[in-house]
Amino acid sequence: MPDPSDQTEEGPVPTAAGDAPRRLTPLGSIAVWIRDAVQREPSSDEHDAIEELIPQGGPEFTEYVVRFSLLIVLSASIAAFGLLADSAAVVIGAMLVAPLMTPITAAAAATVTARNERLWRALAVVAWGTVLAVAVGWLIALIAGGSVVDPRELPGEVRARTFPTLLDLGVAVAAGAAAGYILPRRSTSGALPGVGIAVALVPPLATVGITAQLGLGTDSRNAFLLFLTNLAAIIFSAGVALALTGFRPKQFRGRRALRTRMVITLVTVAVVAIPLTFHTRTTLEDLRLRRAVTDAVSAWDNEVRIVELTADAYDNRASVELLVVGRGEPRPAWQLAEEIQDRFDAAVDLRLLYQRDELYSVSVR
Amino acid sequence: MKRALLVITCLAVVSCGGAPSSDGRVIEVFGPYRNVEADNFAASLRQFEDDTGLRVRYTGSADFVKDLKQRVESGISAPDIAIVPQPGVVDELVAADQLVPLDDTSVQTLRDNYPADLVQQRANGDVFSAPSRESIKSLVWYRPSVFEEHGWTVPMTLDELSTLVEQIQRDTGDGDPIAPWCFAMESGSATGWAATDWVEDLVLRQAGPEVYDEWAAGERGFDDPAIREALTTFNELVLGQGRTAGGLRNILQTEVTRASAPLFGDTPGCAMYKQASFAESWFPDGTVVGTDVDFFVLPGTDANTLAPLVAGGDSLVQFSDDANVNRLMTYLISPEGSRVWAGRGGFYSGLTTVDLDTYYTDTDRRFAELFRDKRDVRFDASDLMPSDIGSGLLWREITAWISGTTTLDEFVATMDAAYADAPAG
Repeated sequence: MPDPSDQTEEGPVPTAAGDAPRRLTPLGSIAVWIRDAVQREPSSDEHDAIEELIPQGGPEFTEYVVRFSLLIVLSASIAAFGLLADSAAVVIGAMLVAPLMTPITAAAAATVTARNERLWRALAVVAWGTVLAVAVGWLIALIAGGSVVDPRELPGEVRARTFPTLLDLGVAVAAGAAAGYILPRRSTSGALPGVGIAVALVPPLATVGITAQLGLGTDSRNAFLLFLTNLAAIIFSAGVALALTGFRPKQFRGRRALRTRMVITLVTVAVVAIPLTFHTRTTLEDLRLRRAVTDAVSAWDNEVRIVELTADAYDNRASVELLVVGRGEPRPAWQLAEEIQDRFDAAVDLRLLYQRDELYSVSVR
Repeated sequence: MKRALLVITCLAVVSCGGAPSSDGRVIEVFGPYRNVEADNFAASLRQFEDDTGLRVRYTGSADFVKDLKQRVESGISAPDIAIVPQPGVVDELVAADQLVPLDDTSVQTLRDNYPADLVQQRANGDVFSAPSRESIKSLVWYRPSVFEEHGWTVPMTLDELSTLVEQIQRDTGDGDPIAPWCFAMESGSATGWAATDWVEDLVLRQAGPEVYDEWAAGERGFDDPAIREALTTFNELVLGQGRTAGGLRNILQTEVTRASAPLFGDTPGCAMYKQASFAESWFPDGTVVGTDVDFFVLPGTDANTLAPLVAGGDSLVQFSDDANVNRLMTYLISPEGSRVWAGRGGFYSGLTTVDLDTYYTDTDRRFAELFRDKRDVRFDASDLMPSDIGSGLLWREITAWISGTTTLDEFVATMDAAYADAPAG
């Protein structure tokens, strides 16, 4: 229940004691509304929901860690097999089994309530889960990966986790905020699986293990970057959501510590965002190149149809692999390469496979 | 519904740099260089663009001969300058009155920097082409560490090479077999040239320079015993069962620039790779010639005589009479025009006014030394033949023969019939 005594500690609300109500600007009104919302105290049920995320020591904690480890091993196994089999459905299944969201949200709660011991405990559980999930991915790739996966032709589900962009950060921030809002409210916990799917935590870790085992260092680092993105963004935005819904330190010193902690979390998110920005730029460049190639093909020969297009833009050059189908004689490939360059304004390397599509229909009586 | 598929692979590269010139004119250069070679050539153009403010676009195509003919015949998309590896094509362009002669400054630059025998003056005194990059076709690339590990030695004669090929097959027959050769020839409409290079080297070695010259000039047919012997040797030495990494399918389907990949595998797929000096540009990044990979000249029949060389050479020709194009031609003939590429490696030419020690890389200096040895050197025969034959029919027919679509008898008969039908001269 909200505690009215807390409000006096927070300082004056719109009116100073004894004064007549003051007229507020629209911006001021919004600020007051937010402040009112923030100054509510979490209910005891909400408090309990957060307190119970991770048991605090004793046999209950040991039991929790055993249960957590088992679920991590199972979800990482499901994820690894799903990734190697290139099955999105199986990977989503792994996300639903994954238990990592709980300690991460607990870390966010401990951050905003300035409870160090709980914070370290939660982070230790997260770290243990991380190591375990990566190890499971590595082991499964060792046993099964070599025979089912060609390192040069990674399954789409694996590849999708080796190039995180700012979009992934956006998803993690929104999903983290949702987690921060949902977790204290048992009535809304049905939405939690959605959060788990939105910010997949175990599949990127399984990808780290798989790609490391296959000797793909860059892919492995990028998949870990995706996990770090999710981790940092969830702690930050879940923390903000929890703080906005009343989870805050009670003491003034604690509030100063909260600010420091949130700044540290925000800086972590910003640091993670740097490589993501580069990745996003690369993705946008690839997109611009794809448009240039599509337009160039139309200008080159509007009778042909693009069947496959691989376009890679890097270091002011474009590498394009193209499979087109046409009915007539192919026009010279050099003209297409120049059309692409006219539109993309960079050095172009083009590999064009032209298939002649001819239909023969014969009847004999 | 039945669907017939004709698959045509085309490879093209375009590079462009520098700011557009004030009048927006872009000088178009067309050639056969792609990928790394295109990068190196384009890098050589930067200095010209910086100095003049003109913009140059280089386009390189695997179907260079076919594309160039189309561009010239269309009359609207001829390039300003082309880099032509086939003297036969240059002769045809001159005969068809498609080229403009080099201007006085370009000719003077040519005379100042090249030996007199490389300045090809026509009967009326005009010079229509200038030499550019040269290459040695007769090289066999190998990894010294792999040879050492298996106790193989560099052969001194063709017979020793034949024995080595059998030994490689025998030594590595079990476990991870290493094929004696890496060989692949897919190159768009030019597919087949890698095979003709092999045969030319064998004709030059087994039959000697005089027979080679007669064959290149069309005075000796493909049905000649000397040419048949070379084709048969090629078939036995290279195309036999288990002789190449990946077998026939790989020979026909793998791009010629990727043929050497098995040579560099952790477990090598082949022991030797016969390809020209320019193959260095196709090796994996960071490959050091002399350490990671090395080369020997395809041996001759006699260990006491230096093996002859089949050489290739690119010519610069000009299609438009324009002051800016003349400036670019002069620049490309001058040592400045190839300085950047020469510094990067993979470029050697007959320039006489450059300091070999500083202008070229160590590997290119080794190529230069091969030219300076007292050896018989002959130009690539198929490039000397009329382009319809040497740069068209021969490539197609040798590919058909290798693929098993035609027999040796049919192959040589088709070639000789085409020569008989070709216009004189």
